[in-house]
Amino acid sequence: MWVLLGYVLAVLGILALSLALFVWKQGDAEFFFDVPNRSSLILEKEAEDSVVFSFQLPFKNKGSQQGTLMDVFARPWLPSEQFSAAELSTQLTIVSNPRYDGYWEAALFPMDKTDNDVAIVRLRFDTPNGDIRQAMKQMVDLQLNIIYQIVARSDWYLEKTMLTVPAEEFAAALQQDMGQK
Amino acid sequence: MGQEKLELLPVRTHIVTKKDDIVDVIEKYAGANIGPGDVVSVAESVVAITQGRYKRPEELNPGFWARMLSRFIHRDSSLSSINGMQVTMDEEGTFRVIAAFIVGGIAKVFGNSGLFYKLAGEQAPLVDDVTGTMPPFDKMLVFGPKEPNKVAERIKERFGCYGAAVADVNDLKRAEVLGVSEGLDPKELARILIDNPFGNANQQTPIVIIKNYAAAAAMRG
Repeated sequence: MWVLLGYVLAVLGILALSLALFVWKQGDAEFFFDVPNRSSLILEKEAEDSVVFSFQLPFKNKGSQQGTLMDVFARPWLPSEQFSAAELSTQLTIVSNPRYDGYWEAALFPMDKTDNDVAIVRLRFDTPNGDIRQAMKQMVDLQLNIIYQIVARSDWYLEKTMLTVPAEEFAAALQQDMGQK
Repeated sequence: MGQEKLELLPVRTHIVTKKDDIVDVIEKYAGANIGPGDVVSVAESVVAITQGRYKRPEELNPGFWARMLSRFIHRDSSLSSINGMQVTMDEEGTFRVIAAFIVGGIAKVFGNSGLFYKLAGEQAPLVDDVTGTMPPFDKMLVFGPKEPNKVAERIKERFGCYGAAVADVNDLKRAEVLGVSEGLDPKELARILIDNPFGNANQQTPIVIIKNYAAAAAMRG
């Protein structure tokens, strides 16, 4: 009796182990935002009281399963204690399916993709005093979090990638635009 | 009349939500164009949305069996996600889906693929995982519609047309008619709709009027 029970337990154990190995080998999606290879900041639009910068950020699914990016957004850490001359809002979209409404359209990304997809991050500054160039002179290094929600083989989860846009890069983008004018 | 050709007329609508009644939507955008010899077909996912048959992944609580079974489903299927599998189990019953999985798996070993979807219940092949539908429903799992035959009968009754159908059609030359009003042949309609006149989701044309269907049917004998 005990021997039979032992055999049954052994078979169940082997099955459970096989299943665990299968799941482990199958893996999951894994998204990677390539911060070191992001593009430089450019000035997209300028008015008296507002300015829009953007940069491109390559990313890919380097996991072993395809995965969906349900939502992706850029969350700036720019407290008024540090910079209050203008108000910052962000938009994030994708080069292959650009949108201009701030809405991230959920998209499925295949695994093992050798070429990157590219996100476009837009940073808009509005100033109440009407002189955006004057306001941007006070700009500091911007801490930016790219936050993304993933749905793949496992439960949905959130991840984030952090990056910094140095104050000098804002100044350079504004300066470059001046040069072109 | 006998010489009138079958014509497919896609109809653009607003983004339909669960606040809409599908028959009212058809009346608003297509009512004037529907004749007594026409068949009105409507996309199944839009019917499902008007019935409130969708959920966000965040609203689901996938169980052990959904986690296990989804691992063995091909990655291109909506049921390969734990959410898609859980929704199917919620709709069709966990035991039924597990039984279908076992029988379907054995059948597949013997070269009979696709049995799982036939046995797991009508919702199994109809669940659209996230990204399966246009914004704002791109972040939802959209189920198949409930009582598609009744929906088709309501449409026929309201417009006095030859018939109505609820169809599941995609760009991969796959067309299935889920519900029809009395007297219509779902397979014949599926053949007519095979080229996906509904277009892709972003075209927002979930209604297709099949003009002169009655005349064409009479010609076919």
